[in-house]
Amino acid sequence: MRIEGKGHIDRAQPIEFHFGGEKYSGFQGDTLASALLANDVHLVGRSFKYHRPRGILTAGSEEPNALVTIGEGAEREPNVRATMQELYAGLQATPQNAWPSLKYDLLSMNDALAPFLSAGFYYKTFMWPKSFWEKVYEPFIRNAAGLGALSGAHNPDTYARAFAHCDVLVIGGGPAGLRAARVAADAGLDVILADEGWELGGQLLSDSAEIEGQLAGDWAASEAQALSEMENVRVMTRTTITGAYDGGTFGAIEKRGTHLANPKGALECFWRITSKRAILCAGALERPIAFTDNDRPGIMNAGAVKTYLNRFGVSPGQSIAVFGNNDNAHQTARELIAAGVKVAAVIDSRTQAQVNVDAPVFTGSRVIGSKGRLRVREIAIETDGETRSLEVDCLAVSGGWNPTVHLTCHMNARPVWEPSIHCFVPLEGAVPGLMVAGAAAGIFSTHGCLQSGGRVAATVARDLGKSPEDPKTPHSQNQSYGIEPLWDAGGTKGPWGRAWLDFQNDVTTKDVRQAAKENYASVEHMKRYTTQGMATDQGKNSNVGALAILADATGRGIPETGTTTFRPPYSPVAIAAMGAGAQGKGFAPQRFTTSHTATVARGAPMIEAGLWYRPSFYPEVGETHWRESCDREVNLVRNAVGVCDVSTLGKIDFQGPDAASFLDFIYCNTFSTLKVGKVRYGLMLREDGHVMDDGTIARLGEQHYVMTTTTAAAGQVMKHLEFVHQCLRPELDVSFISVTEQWAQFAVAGPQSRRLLNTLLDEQINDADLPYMSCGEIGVSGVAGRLFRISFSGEHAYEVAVPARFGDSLFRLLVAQAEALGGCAYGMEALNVMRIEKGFITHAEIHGRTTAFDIGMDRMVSQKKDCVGNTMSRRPGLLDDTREQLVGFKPKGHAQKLSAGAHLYNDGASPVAENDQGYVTSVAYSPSLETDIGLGFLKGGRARIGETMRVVDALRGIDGIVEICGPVFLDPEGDRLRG
Amino acid sequence: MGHASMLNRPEQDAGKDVWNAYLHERANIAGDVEDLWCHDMGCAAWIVVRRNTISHTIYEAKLANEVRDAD
Repeated sequence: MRIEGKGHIDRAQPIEFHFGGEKYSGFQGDTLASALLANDVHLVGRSFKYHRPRGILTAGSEEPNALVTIGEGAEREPNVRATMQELYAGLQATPQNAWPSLKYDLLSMNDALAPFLSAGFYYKTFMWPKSFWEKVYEPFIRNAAGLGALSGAHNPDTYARAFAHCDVLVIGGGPAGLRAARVAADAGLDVILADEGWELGGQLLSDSAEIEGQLAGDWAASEAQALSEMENVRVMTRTTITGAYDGGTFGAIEKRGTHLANPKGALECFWRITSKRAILCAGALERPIAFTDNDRPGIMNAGAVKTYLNRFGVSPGQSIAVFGNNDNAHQTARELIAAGVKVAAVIDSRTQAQVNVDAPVFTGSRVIGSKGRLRVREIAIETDGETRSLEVDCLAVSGGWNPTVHLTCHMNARPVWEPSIHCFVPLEGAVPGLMVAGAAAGIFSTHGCLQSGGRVAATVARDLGKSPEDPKTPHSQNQSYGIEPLWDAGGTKGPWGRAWLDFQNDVTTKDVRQAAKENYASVEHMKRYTTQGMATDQGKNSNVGALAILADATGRGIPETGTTTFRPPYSPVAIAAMGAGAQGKGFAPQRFTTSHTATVARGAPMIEAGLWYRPSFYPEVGETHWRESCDREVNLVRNAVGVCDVSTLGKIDFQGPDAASFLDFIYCNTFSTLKVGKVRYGLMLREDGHVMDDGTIARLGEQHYVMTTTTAAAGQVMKHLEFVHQCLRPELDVSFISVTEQWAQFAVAGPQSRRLLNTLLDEQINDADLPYMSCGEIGVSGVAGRLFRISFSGEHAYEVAVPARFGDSLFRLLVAQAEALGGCAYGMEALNVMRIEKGFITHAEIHGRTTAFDIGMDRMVSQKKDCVGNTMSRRPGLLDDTREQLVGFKPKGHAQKLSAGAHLYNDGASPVAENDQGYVTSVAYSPSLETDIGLGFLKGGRARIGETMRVVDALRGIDGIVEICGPVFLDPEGDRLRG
Repeated sequence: MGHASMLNRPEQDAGKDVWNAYLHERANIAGDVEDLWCHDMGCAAWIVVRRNTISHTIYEAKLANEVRDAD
């Protein structure tokens, strides 16, 4: 219910919204949670495991219960905290994890089974029989347990990424943060002040205390105003610092549009903020107290009740009891009374507590139970050895406060137990350059927070070479705290006596004790066994309570028990925000060849090769299957001429007096002996003796070479070359650079290839001047280019290269001329078929585990010189005759399909791993041979040509017989190449 | 790329133990190490970085080819 005259809401601006299909009304300045409470709605969700009714527990980002889905359709956002969702006109919120409705949830039958669903239940029950896991248990668990669901549609929202730099990052805009930012800014430092809320002030907004004679909230507003007017201050509201990283870097998520009915631009922005110093003023989080049935809607944190009252003008009940173990809880009771709300009782567990509240007071007493199906209606109080019941519609609980130490733990530090205030406080120096002030440092009074914020900022300013004046702390109250620990107030014994710790994941004190009993006594083991702290609040409300119970159950103290690890992010961050700009087409850069436009215009389906896009095939009218196009292209190349863009191969230009020596060291074969105007195949090894890559090297001049690499390995090879030059052979005078983008290069292959080229070349070529494996400078229709007589198809072929700006027109010209000669453009499928027919290897064969010996090229490893991989390639194990060696396969008997990935077994042997003899790496249908052919590796394969083997692909259900043959299927003598 | 020991490539005939140590044996040090880093998306420089694996403090960074020249 609303309380007149209270709160920072704008009563002149009523807002209508929907929750669970019902229409409600709130005000500008409300959160969804405060507006629901104003409408007397407490029941907002169901718990994860037992589907117990759940109400709003907190007023902040630590909320474990009030998770809702906002919006509809593709834009809907699941698991939004109602406590953080600002109200806007027409907001649509849907409860989660309840079916068919919040009030009648069928899966709440799990709750009736609770005695059987205790910690470790899934591990124990669903393990047997094993075959049931995938088909029965897992789908059941997944259906039953869940939070909000994604829409399944493409996310239409936009997100952004940004960077910021500052002298001081102040994390949190409560009393300590406001003060720290002001003192640092007054000292002349560049300050960023970030707060997760939309209004600065933190706890001050929830307080009726006074600062400098002003209401705390008003003081905060005027300080915020002053800061926003300073040029050296950037105030970032709705911005959560999510992680602390090396070098003063922090991650932050800024909600830019989630509070608007019609957001424009990016919905959220992920920031990387680099600061010289940081001051953590993140405040503290209140913790509940465990007692039987402490999870009913209407049972809330005492601080949250005070926040709803003072900040939003909402009383969460009409008859409220307050239960605590510290003085802070009394303030909630006093303020409720001052606002005219009935306080039914103040229950304080401390026998000596001084309770200055005008309400029935029970000291040395505890709340030990509650009743009420969808909302608390009655509580049980144990006082003076007897149990009383009391009718209430809300219970405000305070088990004390935990400093928000999370960010100080992101670089491996553990917080320190502070026995005087019964909580963990940050370890000093936990994050280099980060200091802690205010409640985050365990200082729980307004005065103390203001003072520590100012002092820490002054220290930081002096560290950064400024001379700040001694900060005068604004005058305010110094509230008492006086906490005495109370973790488990107890209650009903037996299977139904359950006291909740983790409200979202349904972890009870009993579960933690059971984990300890079953020897999951380490806090990390307990966490995983019970799922304690693994809900979306990551244990912010429950971890300290749970480990206190564990400490009690194991007989160790809390400091010995320790905490689990806090990791980034502090609160959930949308992956879409971190990956902003990388959705859909932006996911990876795209590299297009110069022939891309002409190729796409011909209707060629494009496939990705690394970042490149290359054509699969060029369909002709009437062709309905890729094989038809591919077979035609192969036949035309073999019988006339074909054109293919090969610009994606890595091209690296080497120049310098030591270029030859460098290449001799890079490749296992020799290039210093290569004559100018000649091309040689080169094999590159890794230092461990395995093959890294292959390609051709052309010598254009005495000190000038051009290397090609495979498309796939171009980047890796370039890095390798830099490593070898800078780290192993810096004395060699050689320069090299990638020219892949600078040259457009096209293969022209087939018996008509020379004829085709001669229609375009400024000077005619003939076989004598340009024999196989030679190269030279040429003019192509007046453009200076290069011509290489090399072949990856096995045909008489050339590769012609021109500066990239001429690539598009040359490609069109080449294809037109090819078609005039009865040829065509060809794509990757045809290219692959022809290289398999010739037994040419690609990275399907040189996949990182093969050696020069395995592919039959060990004689290329020169014994006359050192090179990368030379020594290790001669290890006996890499030259063993029983190693898997490159061979070819043909299906035997009736027509069978081969498949890459199939394994080979001796004929008659059963296809099990022990009998494995090798595997198939590449297959194709050869239109030239009119059969499937394949390449692959077979143990001792070179000595087994002619043998018959069984080939099994269990994945595709292929089981057949192949004949082992040499890896070259077509023209093994190479007559076509040279012809 | 791991330890800056990759800079100290053995002679061709140094023997299999030396080569094995060069290629495969690395101490996994909690503390001060010398690493080889590559400025991959930038200037392609290989750098010897002296740093602490626990605190992530970086003490010094030198170009690898200058370290080699100084040897």
